[in-house]
Amino acid sequence: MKSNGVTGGGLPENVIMPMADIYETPDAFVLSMDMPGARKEEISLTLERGLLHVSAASGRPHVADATYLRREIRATGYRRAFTLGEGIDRSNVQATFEEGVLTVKLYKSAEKLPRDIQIH
Amino acid sequence: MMVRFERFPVVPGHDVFGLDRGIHEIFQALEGRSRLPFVPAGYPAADVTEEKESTVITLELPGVNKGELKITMADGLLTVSGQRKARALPENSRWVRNEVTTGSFSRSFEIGHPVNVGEIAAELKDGLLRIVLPKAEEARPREITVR
Repeated sequence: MKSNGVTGGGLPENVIMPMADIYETPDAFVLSMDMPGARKEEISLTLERGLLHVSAASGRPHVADATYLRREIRATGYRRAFTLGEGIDRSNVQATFEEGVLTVKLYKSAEKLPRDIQIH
Repeated sequence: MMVRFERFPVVPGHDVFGLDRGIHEIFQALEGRSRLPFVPAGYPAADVTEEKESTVITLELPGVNKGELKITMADGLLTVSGQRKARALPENSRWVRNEVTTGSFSRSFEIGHPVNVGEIAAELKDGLLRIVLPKAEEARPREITVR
């Protein structure tokens, strides 16, 4: 292995917290996270006791016999947890992964939705 | 002038894992024990590797569309530029948290060898852009036979 800089291989795990955007629509919370290099099949999303856990391995290409002239991509994986408030419909969570961005849509429970009251 | 320190917005349940590691890494670097040189990363973050027949540049570009990306090679300088569009909020919606950086970016890399420009290949997949710059014939390692 050549070594004029940093060489590949043997790096320890470096799980980072992905940056997230969250916005609220009238009927849902939409959460999206930057997870470049992750693969759809390797993303784990679990809902447990008021916490939404997200984790994934980053598919960072490891080139063992190459010489790294620059190495800035740190993540070997992603992990983050979000506290969920009341009023999330746990049975209705949708997730998509596109362009390295994971988007999770958490629908509000029916009783939390704004509704019109009829005046009799 | 008053200096205000803002607390890192840690909400219980958030960043249980990442922050600790980041701090640990800074201390390691200060003690000179870091496994990596403590060089501030550019944006977008990039890995550059030199292989036998090519130089490979990998950039983190999540949320960037192929059509919004421009790659040019001139005078030994490879430039990747483009933009990540800010997310448009749907009607009647509000931000809860907005951490993701958007906007234009441009980053150049000096390539230390002649490149076979016609053979440069780039692929954008799962938020990673991978550019392969094949070395020109004269820049490839070759064995010399002793006569």
